Amino acid sequence: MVRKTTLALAAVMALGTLAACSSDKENTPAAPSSSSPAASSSSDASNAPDAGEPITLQFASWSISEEATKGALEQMAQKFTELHPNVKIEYIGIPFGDIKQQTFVMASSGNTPDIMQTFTATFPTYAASDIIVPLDDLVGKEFIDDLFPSYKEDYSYNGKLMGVPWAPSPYILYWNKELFQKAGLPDRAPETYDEMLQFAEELSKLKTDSGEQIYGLGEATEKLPINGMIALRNIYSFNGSLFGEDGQVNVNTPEVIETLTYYQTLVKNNLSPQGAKLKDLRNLFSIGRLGMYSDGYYGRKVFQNLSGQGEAFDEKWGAAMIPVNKTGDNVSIGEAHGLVISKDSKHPEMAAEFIKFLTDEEMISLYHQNSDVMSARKSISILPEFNSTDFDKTLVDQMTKIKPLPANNPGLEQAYLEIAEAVQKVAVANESPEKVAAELDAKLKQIMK
Amino acid sequence: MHKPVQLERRGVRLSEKAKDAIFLAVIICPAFILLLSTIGIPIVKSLYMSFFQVSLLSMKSQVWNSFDNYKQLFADGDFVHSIGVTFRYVFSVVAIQFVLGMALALILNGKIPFRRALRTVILIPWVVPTIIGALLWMWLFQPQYGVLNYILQSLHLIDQPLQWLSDMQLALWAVMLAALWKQLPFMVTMLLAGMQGIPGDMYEAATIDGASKRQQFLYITLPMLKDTIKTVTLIACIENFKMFPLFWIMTSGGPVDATTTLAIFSYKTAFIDLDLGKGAAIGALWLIIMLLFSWGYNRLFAIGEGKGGSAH
Repeated sequence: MVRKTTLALAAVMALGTLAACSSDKENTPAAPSSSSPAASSSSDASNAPDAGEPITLQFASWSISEEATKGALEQMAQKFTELHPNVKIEYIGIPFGDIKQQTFVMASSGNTPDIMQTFTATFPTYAASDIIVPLDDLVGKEFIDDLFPSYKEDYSYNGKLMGVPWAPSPYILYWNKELFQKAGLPDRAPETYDEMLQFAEELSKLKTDSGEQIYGLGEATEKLPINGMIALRNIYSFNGSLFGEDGQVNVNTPEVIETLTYYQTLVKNNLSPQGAKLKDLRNLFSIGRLGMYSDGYYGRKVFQNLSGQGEAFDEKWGAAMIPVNKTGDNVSIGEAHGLVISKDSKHPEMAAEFIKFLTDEEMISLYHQNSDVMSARKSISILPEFNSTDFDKTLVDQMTKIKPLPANNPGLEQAYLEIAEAVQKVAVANESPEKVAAELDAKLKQIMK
Repeated sequence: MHKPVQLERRGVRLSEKAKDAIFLAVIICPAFILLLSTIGIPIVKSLYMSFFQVSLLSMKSQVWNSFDNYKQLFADGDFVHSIGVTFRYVFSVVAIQFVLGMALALILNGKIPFRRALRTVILIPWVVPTIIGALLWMWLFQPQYGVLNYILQSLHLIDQPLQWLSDMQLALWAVMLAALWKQLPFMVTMLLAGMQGIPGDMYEAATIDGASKRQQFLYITLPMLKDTIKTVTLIACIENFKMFPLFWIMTSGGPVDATTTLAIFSYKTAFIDLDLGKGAAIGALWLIIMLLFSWGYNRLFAIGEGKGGSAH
């Protein structure tokens, strides 16, 4: 009896296991076939934005997982559904650091969300992949012509618009007014790099009330693609580039070596914290332990949260254009959170409609009020609501002095990572800038060929 | 003797031995299918992928690339570096963990006050999820506002805050410290259980024979714990060879590549660079390394076995 029961149980378990395996097997091939590129690209009536069939658009986003932006995004989805009652926006919250990896894994099994949020440093990988579609026809010429040229270029690949710059931002300089006053510095941001370093030295002599060190000038040196991209801002300021006059990769130049030396000096002289991420710099700035650092528009809201002082903290810092260095101008770079449409999407037209809705005047104004987001559309960025405060004006002024990032290339994200590693080698491992520049040159020539 | 299968009019009658064999096969079947589908098939698939150019950028084209994944691994030096980091980490953590674990187990096996309470308290780090532990240690190590630097500076042991996780020399040791904190309870518990299985009369006999505590430890405790030590250190080795969350959360393999172990290297290659083929090649080589390690490990513990007892 026991043996029979055991056999029956074993048979049930074996069948259960087989059933689980087989059901997986049945599901896997079905997904890609039902959402094949051919099916999705066909513009039949069922795909038209105004068709009445129920549509669910999946939107993979990190902003929906963040407290500061969640509310605004939910409001946007709700408003879109009011306009298109047959459309439901289903957010898939994925943390910022995981979104690229997760969406590519989802794509490999044919379960790509219709819309994916990305940002400038990782966009090249999407652009060079086969998981997204060109948007030129989907968003139309009028929309594309309204984009700022540098942001349009950042989201184009091989002459086609592959993503829409949604929440653009130039990098500007944030400075702590209280610390400046405490250090006996003038009540203004530095105007040149030399002055910025001089201010940083004075600020670094300060201590907190409990005797902790205060840093003068923060630069992110953690090995992340975004930090490699940010390092380009400094390379540009030192009048350098990733390319020589012949258009070929060349970073073994005096300008790049000077930039690496700048990073090394900052860390060696304790002006900047070692191995910091951007979020560390935001933290330190918010608790009054960092005098200056560069960041995007996100600063204000982040400081309000991290300082625990809310809007009262707005009085304690200032925003300014990036100081002038070797170019004689306030050179910066711009980045933008972007939106791409999956090749697997069954409703690319509706997805494009939603993206255009997110970037229109009403929604961007809503986002701007909520999180200081700027617009990548020329017609919107000149509107009064985007230029109402000094902070807005600084962002808009800096946007006019953005130097374009390198054209998208399958190896560009990896190149950013290598630049970040080069920065880390000089700043953390204290290697010679000349040697590191030569090594970086060899790597970038290999990666971006 | 095998009974011949007897055929009857109404069907086939099986021998008792054949019935036993079928019974065993059927009860093993669910576990076997489960292992095959969750371990066997992924390993074969991974080995297969390691010979192709497979990228998440373009999953539709998978091209045979003439062992290029393997060639690249040996050409760029990162793979060999990550093997070095992995072995340094594993041997250091397991060795320190074993020594500390043995010392703590001996203490807890003795007659000390609050013994039962201490045995329970020591388990706390073990029940904390690894990810939570990693985040806690990351905050403790935070150079600007971490408590560790605060204590060391308050005690005037250091002048400047130590960059625990972003210093080329310190980062690996910092992760090791977190790993030790997390894994030590397991080592202590297993060794303590082993010690409690040693008959007390052996120690009584040794005491009567005039053996010192050191001799009792060397000639009774250690030999009697041999199997426990073998199992527990092997588990610790495996656990640390595949350690991922502590490294990923605390250092992401940095600064530069100072804490890039094989686990981090394969993850970065497969899911950051999206190069699944090269990631699979790392996995395949890693499998070979682990097989060689297990073989060597078993050989090491087989020394002296089957020779009719110990020499003393």
